[in-house]
Amino acid sequence: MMFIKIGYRNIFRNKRRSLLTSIIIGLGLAAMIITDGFLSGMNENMIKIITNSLVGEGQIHHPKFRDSMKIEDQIQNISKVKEILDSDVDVKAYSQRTISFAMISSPRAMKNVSLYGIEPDKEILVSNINKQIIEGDFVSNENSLVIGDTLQKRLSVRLGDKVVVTVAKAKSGEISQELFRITGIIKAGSKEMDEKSAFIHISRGQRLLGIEDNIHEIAVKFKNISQKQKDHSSLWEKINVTGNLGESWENIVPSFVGMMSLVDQLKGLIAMILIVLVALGIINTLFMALYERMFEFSVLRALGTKGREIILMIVSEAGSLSLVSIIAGIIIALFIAIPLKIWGVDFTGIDLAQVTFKEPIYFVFTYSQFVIFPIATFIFTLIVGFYPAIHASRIKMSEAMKRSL
Amino acid sequence: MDEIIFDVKNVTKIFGETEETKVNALKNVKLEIHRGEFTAFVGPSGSGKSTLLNVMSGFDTPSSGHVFLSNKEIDKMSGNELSNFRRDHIGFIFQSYNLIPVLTVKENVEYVMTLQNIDKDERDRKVSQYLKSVGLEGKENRYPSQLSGGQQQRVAVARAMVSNPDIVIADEPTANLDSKTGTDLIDMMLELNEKFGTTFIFSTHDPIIMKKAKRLITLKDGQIVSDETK
Repeated sequence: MMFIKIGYRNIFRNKRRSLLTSIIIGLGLAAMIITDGFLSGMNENMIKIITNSLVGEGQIHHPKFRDSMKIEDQIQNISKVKEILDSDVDVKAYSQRTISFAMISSPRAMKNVSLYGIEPDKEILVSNINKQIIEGDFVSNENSLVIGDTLQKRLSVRLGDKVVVTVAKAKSGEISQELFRITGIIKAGSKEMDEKSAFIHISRGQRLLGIEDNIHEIAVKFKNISQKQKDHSSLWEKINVTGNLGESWENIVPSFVGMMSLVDQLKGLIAMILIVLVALGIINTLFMALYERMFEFSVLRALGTKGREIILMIVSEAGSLSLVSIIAGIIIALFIAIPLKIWGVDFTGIDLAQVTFKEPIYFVFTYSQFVIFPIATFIFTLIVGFYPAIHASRIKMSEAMKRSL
Repeated sequence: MDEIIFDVKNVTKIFGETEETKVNALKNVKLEIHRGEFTAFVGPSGSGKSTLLNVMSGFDTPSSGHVFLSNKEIDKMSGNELSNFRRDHIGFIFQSYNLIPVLTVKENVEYVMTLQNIDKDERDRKVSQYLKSVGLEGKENRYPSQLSGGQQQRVAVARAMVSNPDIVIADEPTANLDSKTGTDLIDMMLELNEKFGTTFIFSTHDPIIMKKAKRLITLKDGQIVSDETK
């Protein structure tokens, strides 16, 4: 206890140096917390963008459809699938879709698109396409066609203009053409949506493709968003029994998951750099203190203090410094994190990994930032403190005491 | 008085490894210190006083010869054994007081007893007794920086003696004190020497200590050139 007391009190001997070191360690910790919270906010924002898009939080297809994109690869046993979805307590909503390649012709141009037949009243519960309407209305009737603003420019059409949609019919492969009126323009912020997608009513899509009541995709929204496929594994297992394939969004867009993993690695890298800086700060401070007090350590040794007790004393000093620094770091982090949580940082319109931010990135508070990070900093400081401590414990007394005896 | 407490047998200490740098700091020194003595090592700078005290304290090992304290050969002890031995048998008083600045007077004095795991009541009793003996009653909770040089050295004396060591080694204890404070300190140590029978060894240039020492050992060029008992 005596050694811990000495170690603790020693940090107040050179207040300016201890304060500066505490600020360095504190800033390191604060930077780790802010980086983690901000990047978590970015991830959360991107997940929200992804899951609010056509991807949804989960999708069901014919097992071959995502690879083949064949109109004939339709969802099997639809009524059974819907029964499973209706009975699952985690499922908040789902929406059926037809998907096919199509060509849209205006009097001035022709463009290839992915044509989605959607259930307008259910689609708005699963994705936020309706919120991306910048002109006109969402799919409102069987004659409606909603296209992206870039496609609108390419086709040189305006709201209310008529266009011809051409598809290849299922099984026969015959050309099927029908006239639609443009009722809405969307701007989603992604090339895929704004230039290469078009939306019509599902019943018109089924008729156009000649697939009767069949569908190609069901997008699912859960009550609690989850990143992990395994969290809904029981639902997907039931779906798979029906001869279809159920997957969560992370399987649908693996490149995005890879990007998030990259962000996590980046967080780790930043943490490592900060930890090295903190370590150098601690070692520097302790060594400076140690060389100043070399004679004092020899006096302590002369009085009968053992090497390991000197180590305990110096490590206690490092620990005390660390505790003060952790408090400083948490205060600094809160000063930055709270405004970031309330107001966020506006990245609206900026693209990252083919995702366009549509709202500010808000700080995300996590348990680890204020518990794990400080504990890790404390333990790391103690470990780093051992180096100068061992050095001091091995002091050659006759050399250090030349000033006296 | 006849009990030999320190027995220095044919100690030689050579510094430097090559012929050019080699310095023979102690040359075959033989010395016996008896319990209760009040001895001063004197001699010019470079005479070997500090080296002899270093070797006798276990801070340094002799190149040849042996040092016995209370019949234990200290130059053969391991680091931890030596720490324990110093803690239990030797008290130190340094030229620059060298109190632990972050501990109060009371905590400084009881430091060695804390190392010895002596219980708190006993520590309190002895701290009180020795602070009274050195005239620092009522200053228990002051920090060293709040005391004068003379008062700090008195704390150092109390710290050196409180654990009842066999011997107190004092390195020029009056060097940083004015002559009156120095005289008072030496008188106080003489009184403690007589009261508790503690053995004192000084290294000094101070004529007051030389005058008051009961035994005066003079070193020159690493050898004892005279040994007078008054």
